Amino acid sequence: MGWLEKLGAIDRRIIYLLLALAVTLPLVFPFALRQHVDRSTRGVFEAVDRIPAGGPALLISFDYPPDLGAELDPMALTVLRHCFARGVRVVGLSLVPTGAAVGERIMRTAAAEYGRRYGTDYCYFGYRPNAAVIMQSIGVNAKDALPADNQGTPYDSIPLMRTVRNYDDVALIFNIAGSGTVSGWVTYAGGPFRVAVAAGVASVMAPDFIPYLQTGQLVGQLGGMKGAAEYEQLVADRGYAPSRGTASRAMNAITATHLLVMALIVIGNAAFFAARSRRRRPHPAEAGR
Amino acid sequence: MADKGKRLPLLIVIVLGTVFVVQYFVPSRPSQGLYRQALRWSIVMGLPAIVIAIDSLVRHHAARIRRRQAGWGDSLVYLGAALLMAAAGLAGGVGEGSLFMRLFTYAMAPMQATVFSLLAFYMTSAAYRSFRARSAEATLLLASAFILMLGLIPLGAAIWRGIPAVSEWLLLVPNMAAKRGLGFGIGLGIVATALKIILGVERSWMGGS
Repeated sequence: MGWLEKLGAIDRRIIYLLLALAVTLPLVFPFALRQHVDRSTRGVFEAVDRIPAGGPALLISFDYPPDLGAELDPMALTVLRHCFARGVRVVGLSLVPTGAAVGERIMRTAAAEYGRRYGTDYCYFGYRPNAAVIMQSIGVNAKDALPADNQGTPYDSIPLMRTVRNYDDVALIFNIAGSGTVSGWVTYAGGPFRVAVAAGVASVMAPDFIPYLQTGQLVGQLGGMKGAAEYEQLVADRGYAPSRGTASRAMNAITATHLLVMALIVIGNAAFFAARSRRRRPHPAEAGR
Repeated sequence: MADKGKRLPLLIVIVLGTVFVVQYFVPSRPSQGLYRQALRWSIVMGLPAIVIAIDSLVRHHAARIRRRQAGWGDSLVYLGAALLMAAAGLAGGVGEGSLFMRLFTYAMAPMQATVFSLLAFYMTSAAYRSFRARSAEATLLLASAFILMLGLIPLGAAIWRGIPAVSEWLLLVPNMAAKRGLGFGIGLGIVATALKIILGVERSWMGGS
């Protein structure tokens, strides 16, 4: 067996160790990489950037559980930083029970960074059951769908909500999802009420919503950590945030792991072809006959 | 007689099926009210199913513990964790800062994330062992995967500015062609099955053939 073929039999424990190093080292020793910003990310950024300060609100729906937070929290934070830096008013809610606390934490964190006040600059309605009904009802009368905020404050007592009657007063719906709620927002809100919808989803789900991007039913989409890192870069480049955030650092680890996987595939194939050519080559004893 | 017994559920399905197809296309307040009411009913009707499921799970795991079957320790952990979460939720609610949410955020979520992240190790090992250019189709798949992976990382654009565009084209054109074909098939299948149920052609959901 030649050295090339031996490379085709690397012990899996060594592969696991290499992967662990590829994930951890870039996080411990970060380096700065410029992201290539794709059209779908730019679509979300431009949609948020077009909302006038103090004008129609951005409705953000945190439809993911905490275990997807590692991937989805950074995009929620960076979009909110963009909004709060520009003075865009934000209305939050969650259509999954486990997303309620996630949304509250993220909205409070981002608002505190920019000194935004609850009730006038942003408000949060927590978990609302019956997703499809909520999506439709906001379009008819938001007060019916969201009678009180997460703390029990009535709709009319929240200064921000006095100017939000229905989707006519919403510039953009941004849905951060760990499940299929994006389709719901497109079907029940975007389509019937002609309100712009954008999505932020886990990377494994991103290809599922490409048809909506192609038809314009989604104005943009952030796909996993990559989308969040691209958005962070746009936000930092325009001066809305002092620096890029967690997603950009995580992209270093993702870059290293992708390179490792590609290297291993190349090595595996080199070993495969070396073994195949040796099998095809006639044995010296047979060749001499 | 058996057919007579099936008339009422069949009638309910025909009437409600037709009404809610129409409801979807009428986003008015009465239509929303009707839909909301129907969802409330479905929640109420779904509750007994949860009770039955919990009863079944508890019986199953309790029997395993009682008989000291293989893996009875896992059953004990399961029942203990389920009881703890239920008690935490009932006693302190499920809001931010509650014991339930702390257990969920600091125990459940990291455990789920850990199990999910193990996938990366298996995928890397599997890619190394199995992703071989054995045929023309496999080579095509391999090349596409390489371009997509390079397109996902910032280094791809640094190597060649065209890589993200090629990667995007692969996702938007060949990938979408296949996905749309599948989507149309699934959509038509759903519509056909729904129509068969609403029109009473498909009755297996009532039991029997």
